[in-house]
Amino acid sequence: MSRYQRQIILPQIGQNGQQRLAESRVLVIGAGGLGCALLPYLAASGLGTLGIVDGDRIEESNLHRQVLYSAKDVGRFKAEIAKERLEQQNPDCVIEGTTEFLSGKNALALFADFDVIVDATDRISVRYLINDAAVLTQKPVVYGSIHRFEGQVSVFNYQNGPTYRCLFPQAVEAPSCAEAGVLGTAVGLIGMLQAQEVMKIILGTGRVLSGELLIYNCLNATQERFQFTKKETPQITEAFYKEKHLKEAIQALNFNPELLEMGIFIDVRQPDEQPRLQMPRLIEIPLGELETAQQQLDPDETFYVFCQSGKRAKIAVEQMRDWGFTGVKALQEGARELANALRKSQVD
Amino acid sequence: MEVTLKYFGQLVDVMGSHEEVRSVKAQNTQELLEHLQAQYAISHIPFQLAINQKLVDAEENVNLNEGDVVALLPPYAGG
Repeated sequence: MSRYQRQIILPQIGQNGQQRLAESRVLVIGAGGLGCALLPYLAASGLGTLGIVDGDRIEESNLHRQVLYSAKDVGRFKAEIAKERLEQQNPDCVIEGTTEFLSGKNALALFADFDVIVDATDRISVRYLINDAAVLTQKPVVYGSIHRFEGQVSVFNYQNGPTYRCLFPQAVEAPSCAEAGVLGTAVGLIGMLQAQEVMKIILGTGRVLSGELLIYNCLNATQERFQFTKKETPQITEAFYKEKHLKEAIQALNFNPELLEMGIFIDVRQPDEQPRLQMPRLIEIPLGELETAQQQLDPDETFYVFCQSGKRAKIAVEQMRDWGFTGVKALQEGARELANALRKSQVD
Repeated sequence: MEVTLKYFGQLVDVMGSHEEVRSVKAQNTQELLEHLQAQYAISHIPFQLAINQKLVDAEENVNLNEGDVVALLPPYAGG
């Protein structure tokens, strides 16, 4: 254990703390700028297992800040190269690399296997996914993010504390490093603050940055802390997770006259909405009556659903898929555009 | 009254500084937001407000006091 002697002699660590590190499993989402900064320090500390999730490949424009990678690695998976480098660095640490992006489908199973989750990603939508999956699997999240020379750090869902949704309830994308620009030293610094929070959580020492947002400005060398509290809404339940992260976007189809031969059209508008359409195989079921009426329909048949704008058609398709209809599609066009397209196809 | 306004993230560029002391007629956070939104193109940037280092609820309208430090905090995406 002489490898870890200099940290074992710290009263806050000792043999017990080192043992805790050796038994810990930490999952790092994103092996970009933040990931490259924090991973080598976590591996070096004698952490038992490090998981790395990143479906991205190394690009030349990453190299100025993603310091685990060399010019010869361009084009290869980040999770693979990071695993190679970290295994060389400390053979005691088991590295589990996943060359897939985190998604609503894989997040819960991945998180279940780890003690601490590190958010080192670069998109807001993934940050909400990490948050919600961590709440469901009851894991703390060490959050870090960058805007140019400023970085944010916090710890969410720590001992049932506030989460990312308590801090930022609105889900709106913000510029990434690729769009806004970033300096390697700035992202490195924020990654290091995250690594420090991971250590504190595992060792049970110091004050974990829970319920506080730390913002560090690297240009001015100033930092500020902001306090926030837990909000009870939204309740992050399995149903909420499914709604936010497992719903596949309904793709609308463009009408062409050949579709008339291929399936049955469903008009989900109210009977008084104009124009009414004439088609060889058309059934009219207002959206509100679809649930009752669907029992008369064959779930294996092909259906094309339309309404006035396309909005209700998508809702209908979503519902019908839930009821087991496999060949149901929404049309891009509303009734008026369909009427024109039909007239045109009859003239031709 | 005079309040100190602190800007972060994308808001620094739009507002033209990190921090300023401003004399405002606004008596509460809602009036302050209206005042800022009328003068600057910030409506496309999501942010949270903190008064004296404590976040305030987006739906809540909090009274301002002389000398308050109001921070405008957007989420960051980069990593």
